Amino acid sequence: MTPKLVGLAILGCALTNVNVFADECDDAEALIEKAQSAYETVDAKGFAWVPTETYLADAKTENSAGACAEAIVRAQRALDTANAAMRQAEVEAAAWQSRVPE
Amino acid sequence: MKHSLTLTLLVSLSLSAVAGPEEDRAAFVQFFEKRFPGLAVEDHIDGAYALDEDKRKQWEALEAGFPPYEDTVFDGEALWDEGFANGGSYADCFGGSPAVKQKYPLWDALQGVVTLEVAINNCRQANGEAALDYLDYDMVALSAYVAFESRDELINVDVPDANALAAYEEGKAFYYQRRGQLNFACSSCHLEMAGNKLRSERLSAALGHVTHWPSYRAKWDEVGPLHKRFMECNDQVKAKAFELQSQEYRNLEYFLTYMSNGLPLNGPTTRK
Repeated sequence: MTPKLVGLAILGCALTNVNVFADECDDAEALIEKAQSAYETVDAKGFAWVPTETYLADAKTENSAGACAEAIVRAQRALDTANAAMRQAEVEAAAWQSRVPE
Repeated sequence: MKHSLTLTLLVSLSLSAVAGPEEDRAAFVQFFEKRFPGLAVEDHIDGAYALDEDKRKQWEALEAGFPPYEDTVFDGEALWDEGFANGGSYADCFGGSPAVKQKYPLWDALQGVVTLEVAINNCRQANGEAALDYLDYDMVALSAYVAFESRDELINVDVPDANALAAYEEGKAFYYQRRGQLNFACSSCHLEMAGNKLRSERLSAALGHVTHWPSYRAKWDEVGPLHKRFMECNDQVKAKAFELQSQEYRNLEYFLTYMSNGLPLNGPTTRK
């Protein structure tokens, strides 16, 4: 392989990696937005969880620092906990009545 | 005859489905009477110390000496007596006496549930003073003084109309709803598990929970209000807490205080 070809190969790899990272950061951004929206919905119902807030804050910090893979993991946890909190809110809309002493 | 019996049965069933505050309170008290047959209802104003003899002795020793809330009560008295720049005073707002805690929270058509702390700020603002933050030392001191002067008064809160009842019902729902990642309701610890131990701590009964606030908590190393404890409870089960004096906590206090109607006030006091 000529030095020119090697150079082209390296450049190709580098560009591909940049694209991968750019895609990852876009994914993180989208997931953070989705988690934020889920959090706000459940918060409006009065059932938000503390860990959702923590995961969201961490995801935003990591995303800003360019640690997009970590941000995705954290944002997914935020989304999962927000969804679990929403299920809790839905169940508790009626379930609490069974706990009232009669 | 058959029809009238059916009608009576239907009416009684529908009444039990929409039990009012007084029916709720009777069932609440009865629950704790059955759970703790050796205790008088009034004993619950001492919280976990009514359920644990060893802890009670330590607590009584602390109360008998120089209780850590004493200075706060004195400071509150000084603030009460000092009055406002316009010549008005807290006494003018509260009918001349600081012994008023037994009436709070009360229902107001404009403001909804008015707790003692909200009433103190209403008084300040009516006299041209700025409202105090609900964790401000002066607010805590004033409410501690009012609580001290109200000792032995019997809680007597009222749910006067349909709007008040709606607020009460919201507070009731909040009390029994599971929240947070740990999926706990207030009632999980202080009703279902009352008297049991959570690690080394004895869980107090919900009955009498409101009689002794504000309280000096060793954990806080200061006197603090009931709503701070609500926030802490929510945080402990990993639920996002509400603001002090938020509508949610005021409604919760309304319900919880109604459940303790008729019990004597004994605040401020000390808790771990």
